[in-house]
Order: sequence, then C-alpha cells, then structure tokens
Amino acid sequence: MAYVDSAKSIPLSRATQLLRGRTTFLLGGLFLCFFITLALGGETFAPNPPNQIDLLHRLSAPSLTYPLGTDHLGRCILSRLMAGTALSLGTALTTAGLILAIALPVGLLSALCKGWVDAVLMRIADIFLAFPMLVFALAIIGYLGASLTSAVFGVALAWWPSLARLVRTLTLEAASKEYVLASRQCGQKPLSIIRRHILPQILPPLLVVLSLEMAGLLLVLSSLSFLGLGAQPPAAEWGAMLNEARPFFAERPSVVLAPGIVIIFAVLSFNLVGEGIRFQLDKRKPYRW
Amino acid sequence: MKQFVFKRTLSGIPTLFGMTLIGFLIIGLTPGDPIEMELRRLGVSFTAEQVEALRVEYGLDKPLIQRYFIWLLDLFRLDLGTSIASGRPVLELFKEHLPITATLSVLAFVSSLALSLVLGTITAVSQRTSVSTSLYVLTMFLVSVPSFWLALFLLAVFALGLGWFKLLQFGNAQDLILPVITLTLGNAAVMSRLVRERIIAVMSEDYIRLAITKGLSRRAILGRHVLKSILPPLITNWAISFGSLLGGSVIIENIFNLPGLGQLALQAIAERDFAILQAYLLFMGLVFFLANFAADLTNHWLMPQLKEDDHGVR
Amino acid sequence: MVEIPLLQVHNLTISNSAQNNEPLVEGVSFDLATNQRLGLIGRSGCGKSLTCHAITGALRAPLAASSGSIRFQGKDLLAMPFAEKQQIRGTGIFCIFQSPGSALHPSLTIETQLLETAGNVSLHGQAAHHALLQALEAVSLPKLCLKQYPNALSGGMKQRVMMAMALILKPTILIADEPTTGLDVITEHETLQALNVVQQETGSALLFVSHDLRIVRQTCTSVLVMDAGQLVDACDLNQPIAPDCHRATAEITGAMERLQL
Repeated sequence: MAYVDSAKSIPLSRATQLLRGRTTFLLGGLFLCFFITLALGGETFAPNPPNQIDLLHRLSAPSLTYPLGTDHLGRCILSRLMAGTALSLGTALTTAGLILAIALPVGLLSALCKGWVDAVLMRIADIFLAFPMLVFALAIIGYLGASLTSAVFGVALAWWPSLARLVRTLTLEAASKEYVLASRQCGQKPLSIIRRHILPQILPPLLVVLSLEMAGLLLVLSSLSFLGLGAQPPAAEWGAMLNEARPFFAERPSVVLAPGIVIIFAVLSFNLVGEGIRFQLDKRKPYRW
Repeated sequence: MKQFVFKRTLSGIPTLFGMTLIGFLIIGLTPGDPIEMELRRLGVSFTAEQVEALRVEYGLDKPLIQRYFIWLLDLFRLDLGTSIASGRPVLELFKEHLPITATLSVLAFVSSLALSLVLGTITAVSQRTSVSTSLYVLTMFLVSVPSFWLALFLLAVFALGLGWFKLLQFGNAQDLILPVITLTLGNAAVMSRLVRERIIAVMSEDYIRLAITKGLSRRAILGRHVLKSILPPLITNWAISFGSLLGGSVIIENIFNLPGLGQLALQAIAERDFAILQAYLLFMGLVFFLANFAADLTNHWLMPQLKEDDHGVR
Repeated sequence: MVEIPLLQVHNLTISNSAQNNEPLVEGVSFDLATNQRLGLIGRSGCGKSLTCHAITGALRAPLAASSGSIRFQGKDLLAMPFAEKQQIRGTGIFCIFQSPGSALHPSLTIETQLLETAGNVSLHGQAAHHALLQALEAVSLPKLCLKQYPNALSGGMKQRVMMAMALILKPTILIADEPTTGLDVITEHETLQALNVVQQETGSALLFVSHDLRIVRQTCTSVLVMDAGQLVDACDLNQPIAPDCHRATAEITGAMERLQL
C-alpha cells in the first residue's frame, strides 16, 4: 500500500494524473495551434486594420466595432494583438534558430575535436555564462542600439552557451555508441559520420529542449520590447504594445493589461506542452504519503 | 577546504579575465564615434580638431590593446571612467544607484527562497491534495507571467484600485514593497518548480524507502534525508537565480520608477553612454561570479565527500 | 483464549492503479507467529518483493494494495494514517531490502544513519553510542566504518550496516527481502551469519524472501511458494517434498537438486 489512503483519494489522484499528463500536453497543443493559426492569418481574421487610427475613439471601452476597446491612438486592440502574433512568435522562433545556429556547431566541434578546441570553446561559453542573462543581453543591445534585430542578437548571444553545453554532452554520448565507433573504423569521413550518425541522435532531444526554451525566449523578448529595447512602435509586437500604452496606464489599466494576457497564454501554452512532454518521459515513482 | 578554495579561485581567474575582455570590447568596438555622437546629441557645433582633442583626452586615439591594459589598470584602481552624458564619474553614479538595486535583489532573493522551499515541498510531497494541486497550477501560471505584466497588475489592483500604494514614484522604503513582491512571486514560482523537481527525484530513491521503513517521522525524513540531498544542486540553482534577479530588477525598477542600477543602465542605453553600460555589465558579472563562487564553496563545505564535478562548478 | 498471530496477511491484492487495476499479486494470505521463521520462495517477478513492500508500506505510487488486509498485532496496517504507521515501522516491522548499494543515504555518515535509528527506539547520547558499537561488533564491522560515507563501503558491508540497524531496532518482525542479491558467495555467507545473529539476539519473527532454496534452507524450515502473483504451496523443508506438490515447487526443488549435482 503506497502512501495513499486508499478509497477517498483515488478519484482526486485520477484528476491530478489527467491534469498533469496528456491533458496538459493537449491543452498546450490546442493553444499553440490557435496561436499558429493567428500568426499565419492574423491580419485577415482581424476585425479592423491593425494600424488604422481613429482619434475620435481614443481609449474607448470594448464595443462591437472594437471588441477589446482601442488604444491611445484609437487603434483596435484586438486587431493589433492578432496582427502582432506573427511578429511576436516569429521573433522568438528566429531567436531560437539563431541560438541553434551558434550552439550546434560550437557543441559539435567541442565534443568531436576534444583537446584544446574543446577547452577553448567551453571556456568561452563559461565566460558568456558568467554574466546574468538579461544583463548581458542589455549590454549587447546597448552596443548595437535599441531595435528588434539587436534584441534578437542580444538574447541569442546571451543564450547560446547553455545550449552549446547541452549539444556537447549529447554529442559525446552519441559519439561513444558502438556503431559510431564502428563506422569510424570503417574509414567514413567525419562530416558524413556527423550527418548520418550523430545529428539523427542529438537533434530530437535538442529540438524538444529548444521548444521548451521558447517559453523563456518569449518572456525575455517581450520584456525587452516592453522596455523599449526590442520592437519599436508602431510595430504591433505584444511587448511593444504594452510599452506604448504605459503612459495611459492610470487612465485605463485594461489597455495595458490586455496585450499582456495574450503573452501569458502564449508562454503558458509552451510551458504546458513542455510539462506534458516531461510528464510522459518521467519514469520516476516517488514514495509518497 | 583550503585547497578547494585555492583551486576554485585559480580556475575563476581566466573567467574573470575573459569577462573584462568582453566588457572592454563593448566600449572599445563601439560602432560610430562616441565623441562625435555625443557632441551631435548636445547640438554643439564642432570642428574636426576639437573632436580629435577630445579623443586624445578620453584616450580613444591609442591602439585597442594598449587601451585595454590602460583600462584594466584603471579598473583595478576602481576608476570606472566618466559618464559621457552627464560628465560625472561612473563610480559616483554607481554608489548613488546601487542601494536600491541591492535592497531589491537581496530582499526578493531571501523571500523567494523561503517561499519556494515551502511551495516546492508542498507541491512535491502531498501530490494528491487539492491544496497542492492548486498551488502547482498557480506556480505553473506564475512562471508564464511576464514580470512587467505582474508588476502592472499589482499596481492596477493595489495602487489604482485599493489606493494602498502611490503610483510610480519613489520616496521611502514603503515604495519598495510592491517591487519586492513582484520580483519575489515570479522568482519563487521558478524556484519552487526546481525544488519540487528535486524532491520528487530524491523521493524516488531507495534510501528514502529505508528512511520510511526505519519508522522516522515525516519531519526527520524531509528535514534530514531529503534536504541533505536536494541542497547541493539547489544551492547552485540559487546562485543562478540570484543572477536572474539582478537582471530582472531592470524591468521592475523601470516600471516602479526606482532609481537603481537598472534604470541607470537603461538610461545609458538610450544615451549611448558606454562607460556606464560597461561598468554595469562588469559589476553585475562580478556579483554573479561571486554568487556562483559562494555556492560552490557552500556545496563543498556541505558535502566534502563529493567531487567538485558532481555539482557546483558550471 | 485464541492467540492472535503476530502478522496476518489476508487476501492481499496489489494492483497498478495506472493500468486498469491489473492485479500483480492476488489473494495472498498467510500468518506469521511470534518467533516463527518463514521462508517465501518463487521465481523472479512472481510478486515476492511486492508482498514484502506491501507489508512494510513501501509500494511505489501507481501500485497500491487494492484489497485485503495486513494485520499487525490485530491492527490493520492498510487503514492506518501515516504517523501511526511510523510508530510500527522500525520497531514493529523492519525490512532489509535487496540491492544494499542504493539503500543507504549517500551523503550521511554511517554513524548519523545508525544514530537516528537508535533515536527511533529512544536511545540517545551514551546509550545510543553503546548500542551502535555493540551492533557493529555483532555483525563484525570495524568501528572505523562509523565515520565513513556509504560509498566507501562494499556491498556486503552495507548489507551488514542494515543488519546493525535491525539489531538496534530489535523489530518484532524482521523481513529480509533477498538480502544476498548481488553479493558474492563468501559475502553471502557472512551476511546470512549476521542475519542469524540478528535473529538470535532480537528474537524477531523472520520472513525470509528468496528465489534461492539453498539459502532459505539455511534459515527456515517452513516455506511458502509463490507463483505468478499467487501463493500456491506451503511445505516443510525437513520433510521430503511431496510428489503431489504444485508445479512451481517441483520446479524450484528440481532446479536446486540439479545445481547440487
């Protein structure tokens, strides 16, 4: 008898199981599909043109024409949020791609060349890791000047080392497999070994991790946009929308809070998917009481 | 122990050195001429000779490597240079702005540490009660909330709605309450998930079964057996989360309009005041470095029987 | 007056709540009397260990005892709240598990782990230390071990540390769940000797679980046979095995005879 006081806790434990297992994954996946649809066809679904200025209806309450109300320039908030999906998610995706583009070669080189190459590359990664992430991103943005591009570069530069370390660990593990050793002894060229044997092994776990990191990337990028260091107005990026609306916070808090709820849902959907995957992979059975 | 401190310090030196190099390059490789830019910004008319004279004055005419070592020497003398925008020494500006950031980070760190231990333990140990399930959902939600939104939300409720706090002005210690709460909630959610993760991992171990079979009380099992195992990796994580608090304080200082280091840095970005930005990067890096160092030492002191590779040293 | 048996397992069924409550152990019933030594044998995976875990209360989460009862001195262990169970665990029922390698806490010294065991039977300070030394001597472990962490000890030594814990706790029922798994023959012998010492000193009832009849024979005379989650046979090892015994019993005894050549 586990530490379950049998009868009464079983229905509840079922609920918890469901909540944490497949349902989490499905719920997150559903949200994600919704956001992807919005990103692909955001402008066409929008009730109003996202940049249409209507100065007669500034900061208006939700109405039929403007379902979520309007911002300080009379632009439809809902339309802007929908139109901004592509930009917000796209930025995070680009950043993730950029991180992978740095981390993958570095990690592979480091693990396969070993010796001084490994030592130097990992030392460099250590130096990058020695700064707090956001602080480092800020410094890079300061160096490049505030813009969406520099925000993407800043975050990618601050983020790659931890992923490079992961690539290195995975590659070391993959390269020590018997069949990789065997094909090396058969005289295959290093590049073809990487392509045929190592990449297929390390890419799946890497992509899972990277998709989990998307939640974090979304948070950081929207924070930077909120600070005015990322996407610049009038771009309909979620964080930038909040930033634009800040002066009117005291007047109409909802104008500021509404775009934020979309960010929360986007981040939450990535987190839910990640949690679902982790739950499925979790084979541990803790003792309980 | 002494040997460990020595080894750890020695291995930290190249990292520190590399940090100064990166810090230096941020100003050394500035795109465009900061002097010209500053003069343009101030709207002063200037000649090429005047620019040149200023370049010599700021030491910008020498080769990069020479400038690096001059700069490094100055750094050891705590001479962080002069802010181009305000003309004041960077060190002076730092002394002014540091207390807010330090108070904010340390308070938030301590409170989120305590909160995360409680939340993590409840959500990990009693997985089947409605309390722990709802707490778990809450932490899941909180990690998905951007800190700036949380800050604005709390402001909307407590400052605009209930009128308990003043909006966007900093006068006394009371105005730090909301900022600390905001930082704490976000950070505690992230940390509590780590605590929960660690506890579940440890509770799956055979030695916990023995502890239960021995008839130990819940308190002894959690307080001795579980705690002893979860601490080392958690301490390492705490150091990292202190780093993210230092970074996160930028956002909070900005929203609550607190005159801290983060605000100073943001202003420096806007004014392209690289001396401040550089000092900010190096200072935060150093604090983060020391936090990691302290974490490693604590771990070594807690579990001398483990090799340093098993935990700590990242 | 009818004496209540020390331990009464009645119709115990263990099932996996995550997989349609498929039973892994079904309808197991047996009694254990004071001072009795009982063997429980069966091939690997037949549910011996699960039965032990159910009695000690160390089943892992999706597994649970779905029906039946386990009564210790008349009280049902399955219906008891955690705190009350902790009163019985240790001093009432103690279990020496298989795989001693992972059983001890890796970052507490042997001394700490033994001392907290002593604390559980209200031995503190000098008395506790005395009990520790006595227990160590009984299982022939050097005093030096006290200051060490488990990773410095061999598998057999760790298992003897577990025996020392049993000596300190003096449980009413001692369960040994394949205590010799993963040990070489010499260590196996030492471990069994230590177990004998423990049993003589504490006067516990013993439930000895093994898949190896040779070892069981050294400690017990009456034996229960399990197969595929059910209790199928009971026999006395001093008697010749009856020809009408269950197939599982015949298999095990047959295998043993062949090994002895």
